[in-house]
Amino acid sequence: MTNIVDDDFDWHLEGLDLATNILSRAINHRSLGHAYLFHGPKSVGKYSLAKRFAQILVTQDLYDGVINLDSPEAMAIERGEFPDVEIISIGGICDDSKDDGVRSTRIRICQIRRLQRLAVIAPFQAARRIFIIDTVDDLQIEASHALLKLLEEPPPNVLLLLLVQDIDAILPTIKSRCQILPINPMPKSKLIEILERRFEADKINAAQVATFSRGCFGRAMDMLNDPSVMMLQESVRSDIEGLLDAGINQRMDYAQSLAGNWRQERESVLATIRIWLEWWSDQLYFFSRSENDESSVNFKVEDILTALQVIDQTYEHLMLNVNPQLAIEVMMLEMPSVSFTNKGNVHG
Amino acid sequence: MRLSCQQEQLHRGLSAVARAIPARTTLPITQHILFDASGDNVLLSATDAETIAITYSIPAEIDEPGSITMPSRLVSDFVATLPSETILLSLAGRAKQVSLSCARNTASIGGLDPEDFPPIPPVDNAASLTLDSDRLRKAINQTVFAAATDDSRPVLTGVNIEISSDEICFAAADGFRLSVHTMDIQQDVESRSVIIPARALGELSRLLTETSGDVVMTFNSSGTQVQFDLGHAKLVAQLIQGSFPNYNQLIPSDSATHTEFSVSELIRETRIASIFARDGSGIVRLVGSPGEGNAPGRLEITARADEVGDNEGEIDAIVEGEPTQIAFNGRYLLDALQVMDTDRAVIDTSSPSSPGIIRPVADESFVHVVMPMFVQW
Repeated sequence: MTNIVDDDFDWHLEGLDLATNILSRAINHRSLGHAYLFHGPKSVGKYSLAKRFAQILVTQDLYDGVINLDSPEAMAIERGEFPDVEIISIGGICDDSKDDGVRSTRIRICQIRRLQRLAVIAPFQAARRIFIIDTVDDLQIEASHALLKLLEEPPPNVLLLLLVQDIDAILPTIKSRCQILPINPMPKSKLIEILERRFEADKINAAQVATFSRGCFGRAMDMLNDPSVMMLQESVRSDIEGLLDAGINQRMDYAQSLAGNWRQERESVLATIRIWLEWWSDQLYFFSRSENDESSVNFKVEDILTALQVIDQTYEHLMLNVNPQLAIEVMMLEMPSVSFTNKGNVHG
Repeated sequence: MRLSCQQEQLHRGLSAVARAIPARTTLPITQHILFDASGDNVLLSATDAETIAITYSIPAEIDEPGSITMPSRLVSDFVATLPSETILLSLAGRAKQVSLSCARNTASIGGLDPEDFPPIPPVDNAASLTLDSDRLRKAINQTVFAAATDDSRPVLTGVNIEISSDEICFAAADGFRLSVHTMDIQQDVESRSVIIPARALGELSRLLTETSGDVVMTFNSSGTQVQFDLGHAKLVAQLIQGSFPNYNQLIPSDSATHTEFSVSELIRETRIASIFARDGSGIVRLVGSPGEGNAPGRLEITARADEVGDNEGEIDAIVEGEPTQIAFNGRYLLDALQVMDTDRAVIDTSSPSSPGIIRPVADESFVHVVMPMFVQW
């Protein structure tokens, strides 16, 4: 328990020092903005940061300036059950009784309308209402415009925390009305160090988790807590390598089996496509690192770029509800065919 | 916790507080009602943890004090269907299973930890004033219906209450109509202006029907909440933040035609016209002609729907000034006429495109302004 968020204050978050320092300063100087935008890759810690920020502000208000992360209110925020802290995400509730949002794949405009209604009502328990939008990337376009209206004329006693994965894909007008905090993945060495300190993971495992999680602490935790996440990584990576010089039949079989999971396990199919994207961006990285060193180059740069483009397009198509089998088949057909020998870069 | 109380009283209390329970929520515990037994009362509380919280106290014989929450739908429906006898309610130790028995029925209902129930916001004694419950209910009923129901302009979803040293002014508007009720008070209070959500006032009006005493209205010191204390029941509402538009300039000060009519007659004719107006955008036309010689003035009420049919009605009226013609949305006209508590009212009009002002005869407390509809005459 403390009442100052000074340099020694521990936010109990890993690898977010840049952002926590800036927010600490804003809290100490009582110079909070009305809207913050945290942007960074999936599972980098945006949501944890937003919740912790809310816990600090709420308990500070309720306990005469003392931050108490063990208080019942802080626990309720952690569980998402505190009246004045609301999380807006896909499938959330809204005031429209005909719209239950169960099947929606985006944040609907009615959810933002609900937010607009609540935003002008005085806070219930704390000194302000805090809304966490997780994530702005998921907003329907109409919902983005409705949110913009709120950002333009923010009511008093409201703090908006916008979580964003792809900062370039959101409305520039939203960006310009928020204080932007980039949340960057941490360097691999740092993540390995943290994993070893916290979990006594054996070295190889920590290195592999750090590589696969691409510096995102949340993802590393998912991999450690849920072995299937790690298994998915490994199996998709070996599929990718196996399919590089495979014939058309084998590729079509892969497309069929992946698309077959779409209805039941949409998220895991999308995760698979993301791993494809990561694998190929790794190749681009290796390519850029190995100038003039022919021996370590697996691919021609044109092949890598084609692959990245094709996968990116497939992901977009899937998000737009294109027939999944067609989308993935097209991806398989357009994927460059090359021979590949794993030169040990990936797991290095 | 162990107590006994009367079925009718528990039923009344449960239905009163259940009005605060939200239709949809992110907090599952807001679907529960909190029972808090101490002294010789059970205090029932419910809240949506957004805008309102209602507490209701019922007399009970308390053998052992304690508290628990129970799911609102289940406990309300159960108690509502029980015979009118004594209900025994008990909760063993730290368990969360409440057993209820009444006559030859016994039931067991699973509750939640009362500690998790959102605290009903305490309203400290910052500023309070006492109002007569009947007058308050009239003020609410004459304004709350005019508040906006869509959220595009959030401040309009509330009723603006402006308190000065000798009067309180209630006002609501939705962009098409404006309703203002002024109530005299003789109390030494601080001037302030607040916006109370229309939903909260609607629920308050419902609670006020069963009381006839005074109501104490209290604001908290940070100006975010208002509490209405009815004695056995309390309602706390979160205020809407923002400033209400300056509406005084919307009430025209003079008019070309002054038409006095019987409220019940115009309600009847407007209802008839509305049946025909249903297929014609709800347009009801009023045409007023002054009396000539010994003939009285009259007000014609017409509606027509193309290819369906039309209707013409006529009532006696005292029409002073120019002959007048104006069209209104039938529902808006009815809404305003139905909250009049005098037999006769007047409507002031100037032209088919300027607003109509409806007010009761010999009662300065209520003014309603309604925008006309533009039609081909």
